[in-house]
Amino acid sequence: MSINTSNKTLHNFLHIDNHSDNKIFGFWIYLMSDCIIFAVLFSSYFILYNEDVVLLINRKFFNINFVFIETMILLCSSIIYGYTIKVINKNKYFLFYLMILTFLLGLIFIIMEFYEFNHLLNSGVNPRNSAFTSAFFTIVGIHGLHVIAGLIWMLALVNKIFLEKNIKKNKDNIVCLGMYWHFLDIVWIVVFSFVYLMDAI
Amino acid sequence: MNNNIYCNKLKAIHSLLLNNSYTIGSFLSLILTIIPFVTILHSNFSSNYIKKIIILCAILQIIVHLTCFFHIKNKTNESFFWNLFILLFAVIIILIIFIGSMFIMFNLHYNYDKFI
Repeated sequence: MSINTSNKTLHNFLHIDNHSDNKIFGFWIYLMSDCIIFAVLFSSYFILYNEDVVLLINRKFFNINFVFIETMILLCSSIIYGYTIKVINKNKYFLFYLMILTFLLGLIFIIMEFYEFNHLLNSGVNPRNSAFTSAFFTIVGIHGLHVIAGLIWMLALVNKIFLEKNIKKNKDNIVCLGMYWHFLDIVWIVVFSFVYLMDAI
Repeated sequence: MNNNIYCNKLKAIHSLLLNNSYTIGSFLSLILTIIPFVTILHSNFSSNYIKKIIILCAILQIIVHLTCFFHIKNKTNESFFWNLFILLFAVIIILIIFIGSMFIMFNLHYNYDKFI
């Protein structure tokens, strides 16, 4: 008993008890700096928007229905991951299945994006065409790289939860991945409405 | 006994789906994604009007995501303040980068030659 109380005072003295808060705060700072990277990419995209020579007449080089389905898949994956965070303290297997479902939806999103890129490159829209197309490919490609990194992180986390059988240790990790995933969803929604929808009018 | 366990699981799922602001947020975000898409495909509005709808929906979507999905609210007061502080800092930096580069690049000297 006395050891416990002395431990508590030590913890209060060193401020260790809000350790997880500090972790989430650090991750939040990372997310905001990532946000600034995307802001720079967006401003370069809008500046280079009128610098195009080749595609100036035909901007609708993508299929808007296809991109809409992509968006809905990423949004559903993000929403499902949110329920994962709600379930952390309740049911381990439910959490496991929800995370795998999120992973599969993210994988479908990435596969669709690769298919779209392949289609664009085959139909003659290269990043080498003009400054506009290279800005377009940079924004969508960097978002895709973030999604791939998130998928690898998610796979590692699922593996860790499955092996360790102790979810409370990984709670901060799960929450941070959730914030990352929602952040990617926000970025994709901005890409969808300002890059794709604005050209589809 | 088995039946009871299933009943508990159903209750857990039910409370998960109904008793939080999270479900409202997810429905709102789905609707806010569908609205601009539908207005583009099946409406006769002018393009300026559609652009305004798209921008409004995107901003509302970001606000819904930040309030309903990010778990920065249910922590201690102090950490919530610092999270908000960093968010405001990032927003200010983003606005400076975005508006500043737009202002500079569209007011360059060689742009004036086109209008003269």
